[in-house]
Amino acid sequence: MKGLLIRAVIILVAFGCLHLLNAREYTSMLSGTAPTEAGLSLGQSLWGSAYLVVYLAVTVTAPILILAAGIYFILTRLSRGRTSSESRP
Amino acid sequence: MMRRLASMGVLLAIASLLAIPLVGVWLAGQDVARFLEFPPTTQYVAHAPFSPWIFAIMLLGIAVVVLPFVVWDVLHACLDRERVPTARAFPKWGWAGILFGLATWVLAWGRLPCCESVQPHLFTFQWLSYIVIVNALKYRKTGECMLTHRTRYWLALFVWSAVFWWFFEYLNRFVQNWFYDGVVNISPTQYFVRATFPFATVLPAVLGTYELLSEGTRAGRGLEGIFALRLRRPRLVSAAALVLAVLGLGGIGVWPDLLFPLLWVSPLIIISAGQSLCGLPTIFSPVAEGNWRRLYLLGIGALICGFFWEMWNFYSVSKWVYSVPFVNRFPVFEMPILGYAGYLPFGLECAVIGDLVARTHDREPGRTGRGTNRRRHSLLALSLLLATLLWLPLMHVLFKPAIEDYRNDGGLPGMAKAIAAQQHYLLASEDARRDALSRMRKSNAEWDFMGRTFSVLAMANMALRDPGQEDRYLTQMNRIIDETLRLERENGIYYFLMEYAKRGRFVSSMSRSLFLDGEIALMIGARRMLREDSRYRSEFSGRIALMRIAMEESPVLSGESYPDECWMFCNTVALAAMRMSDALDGTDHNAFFERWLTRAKSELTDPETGLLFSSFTFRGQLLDGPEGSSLWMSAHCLQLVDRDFARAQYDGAKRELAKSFLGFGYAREWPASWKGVPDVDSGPIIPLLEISAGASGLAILGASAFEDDPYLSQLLTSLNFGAFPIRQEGRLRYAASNQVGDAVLLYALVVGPLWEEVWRRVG
Repeated sequence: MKGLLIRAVIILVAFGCLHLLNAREYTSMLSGTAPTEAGLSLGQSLWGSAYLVVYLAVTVTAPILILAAGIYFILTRLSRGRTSSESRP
Repeated sequence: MMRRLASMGVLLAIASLLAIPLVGVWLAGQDVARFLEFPPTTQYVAHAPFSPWIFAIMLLGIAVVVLPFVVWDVLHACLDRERVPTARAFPKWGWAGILFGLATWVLAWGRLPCCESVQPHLFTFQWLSYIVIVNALKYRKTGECMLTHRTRYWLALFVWSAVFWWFFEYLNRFVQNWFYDGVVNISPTQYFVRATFPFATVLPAVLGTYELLSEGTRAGRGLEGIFALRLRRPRLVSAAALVLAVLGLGGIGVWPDLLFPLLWVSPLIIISAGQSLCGLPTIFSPVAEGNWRRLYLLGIGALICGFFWEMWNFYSVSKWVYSVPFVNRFPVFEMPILGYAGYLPFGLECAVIGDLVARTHDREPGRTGRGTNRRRHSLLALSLLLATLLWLPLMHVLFKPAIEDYRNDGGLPGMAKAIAAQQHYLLASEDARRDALSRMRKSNAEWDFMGRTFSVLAMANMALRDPGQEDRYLTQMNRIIDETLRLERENGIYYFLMEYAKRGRFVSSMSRSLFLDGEIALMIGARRMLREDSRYRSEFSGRIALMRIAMEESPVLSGESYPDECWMFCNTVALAAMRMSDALDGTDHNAFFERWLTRAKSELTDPETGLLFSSFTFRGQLLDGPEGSSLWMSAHCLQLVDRDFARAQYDGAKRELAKSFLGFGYAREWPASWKGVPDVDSGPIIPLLEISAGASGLAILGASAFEDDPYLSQLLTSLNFGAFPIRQEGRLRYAASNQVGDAVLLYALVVGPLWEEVWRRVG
């Protein structure tokens, strides 16, 4: 469970960093438009792509990991309850 | 070694079961390809009508086979005073399953507007609840169940269940006894994904119900020693049954009306006969000792599941319907009553597969050394699966706009206000505007020009929605129009065209681009619809006249946007501008519209989809087929020419291009039947789902103009998710887009009043 939550937190932190570094602006590469007057550079495209990947992870993967952690917690508690009741004489 | 041989035998059996019906239709000289259509949409089997005689014979046959067992069991149950004791309290997770099941049931049948996008997917969740509940009931009675004590086997059943039911879907291609409603506008991938989830619940449901009946109740106890059925020459009988079943399965595609019941019986006989010939125990083996209980309870278990399948299907948004030859009467829900008999052998088939899965996935006693780790991994996998099933259908709710964000008949919707604020900011800040335009011009000079057109059209609509702001909008529209005319005058037509325009010669004697003339005329027309200004009158009428001449010169009454390239987008814009001319200056283009429409319907339309081509030469030779980034705007412009034809184009584009997935709407660039090449306006195209950013953006305009709010809401949900909105001091822009994208969106959100005003004036 802890592993699931740690992975979710890593994704959230990575997203937060890229967002603070203004990488969202570079997603303009999706429409083929340069984010600045200087034109679209390879570096900007990479920033935009990285933001896109982490954004997908934060919207799709991280909530699944957090939900899975909750479900796992419940299932293990139930399973433990069952095991202890089984071991009763 | 034995295990490897057994695996090879199973693979051989699967391959044979798949091949037999295909070989049958191939030998009969039928077209094999139609049985492999995916998703299956064509109905090619015409079923025999209802026959009371055949119905009666089949009813009698089923009654003779089944009733003795039922009567015997009921009589035995009346005399049997023993009860299965309860081992434990009903578990908490069972209660959770009941609550979840009730909630999904209410949502699935409730038709709540907020849950429309989730409803087609709820069937799976209803069945997950059912599975949890039968496991909980079994747990209460015996203290153990598949979910808690055979978790690996239980999880494996989901996977094999999907494969198992896809096999029956495949067999159904040959008899077409059931069809799924609403399999339109859906890609093969989407169909596969959507269908696989509910298919995955079949085996856990049937086998869970069987286990509950078998160990949690005393049902069928009377059938444990009634009569032993021993075959004198079992191998010979098995071989004969195998041959007959193979022949029967091979014939279902050739004589579907006669052999359709074999869809349910033949696979069971083939597998069991194969096991018998190999000397392995079969599902029928206990019968030799007089024990019929397992077969009986498997049939009953499948019948119970069948009842819930049919009941939940009845009011489902996505549902199936039946067409069964000879007996298609007296439905209980959608299923004709005799069809329920098919569930009896189906229960046995589920057990055959369940036994095979158990051999592979059940832990043997004594091999519990790595049990804790395995259990942990199983629970982890189950948690991730449930979390995914829970999150994916819900995710769109985070991005779904409120209705006031995109609809406000009395003023500006919320999103429009925020995007308009951004557009006003660009007009007020010279540096910001120059920056935005030059960034677009580096990719495509056309976008600079089109951004102007859509901004002016949006402002005209906003002024009509909010007359108090008319002066402000007029000032901004004048500025854009004057600047555009100046730039064209100073730099020539190529300033707003892509570079390749310089490499060819216009065929028309006008040597002008309809792209520029049409949109400039539309801008000026929209400006004049608000308030007359004599400065623009001659510019407007001059462009209208030149466009008319250029279009009349072409055999297909279409002007060139680029040398020898006529674009439907630009030609419909030109037609809309001509209708404005009729409203403003009293001209009459009706006869020209009639001729244009006749020509377009006969020569510029794809016969397969009924959609307008997107580009063609001056003489009408096809260049590009129906393209999403062109069609939605064309349909909107045609609303000023012929509203019925415009509606037909929108409906066609919706049918061929509009899609939705997990509550997110999008549009394809090309219909599935067309192989086109994306261009600079298509934007990035996401493979598999074939999502086109350009087509999806303009689909927002189409959905809004044709007041298709459900699709509009789904498209805006996708926009909020995938276009990276940036809100700053009350202004809204989309990072993944650009100024022209924002202008199109703004126009889409305020579209309506300008076209209404034109129609009001032309009467």
